[in-house]
Amino acid sequence: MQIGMQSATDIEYYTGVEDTDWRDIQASLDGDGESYERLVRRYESQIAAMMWRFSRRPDQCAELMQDVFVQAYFSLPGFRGDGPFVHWLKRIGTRVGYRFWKQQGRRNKPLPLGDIDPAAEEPEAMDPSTASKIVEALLSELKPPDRLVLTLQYFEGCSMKEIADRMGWNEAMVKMRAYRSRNKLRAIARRRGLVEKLQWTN
Amino acid sequence: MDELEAIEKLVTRARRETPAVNSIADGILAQMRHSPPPRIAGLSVFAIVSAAAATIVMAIGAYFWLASPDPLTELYAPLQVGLLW
Repeated sequence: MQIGMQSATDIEYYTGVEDTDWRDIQASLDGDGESYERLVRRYESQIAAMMWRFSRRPDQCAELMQDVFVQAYFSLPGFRGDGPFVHWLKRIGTRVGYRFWKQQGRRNKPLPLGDIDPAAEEPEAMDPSTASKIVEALLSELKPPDRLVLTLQYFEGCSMKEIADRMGWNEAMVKMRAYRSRNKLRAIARRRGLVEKLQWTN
Repeated sequence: MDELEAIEKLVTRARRETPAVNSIADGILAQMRHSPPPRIAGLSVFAIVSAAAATIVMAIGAYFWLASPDPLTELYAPLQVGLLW
């Protein structure tokens, strides 16, 4: 057994890695494809939910997910087990998604706000997909670093420290960026007449 | 209603969305079927080779350093001969 001859239970206790994950990781390192398949199937829905925030196009999203799992596979020898495996996957996913946005760069035009039926829509009744499209349309006007900070904060529920850890950024810089990004987002929403379009009463 | 407040309500709804993506497990496995993850990273191999090369260079350097005459001896040798006369 690796990591100082500890038992799998000890590893789980000290590092937060699930016992089943750890066994599958070790088996994958020994070339067992089925073990990695189990890891992929265990976490693909969580990674899909995350990568969906980077691209709502199913083909692009699938490609990003594939990048995450392939990159994770080849980086497995470097996985130290400091935390749950899914956290490590999400860190890779964040970087993959961020790189994708940067590659899109200038080609990425702001998305239209979409068709909102103001009469029918109250916050609690709104279709999640419609809500998601509107938020994405607003966020798409921000630069990739600003967009990333708000996306992780809003959709992943990440704290400033977690965002800083995932990207290797300074926490104070992330706080400042989050503050400025929110202000920019408010200005974008105002310019595009979001509140008037929604016509929400509460 | 403030714009940010509206956005936060939208985000709360948007979080319930299910991504329209199919399973990608088969595609990934097909991609990596013939390439198991390396046990030793490329960087580690490079570090080992660099350390071996550095050891050889150090050994050769030490050999020549010990074999070379002391430059101060070269400087004082004529004076010592002069004193003898």
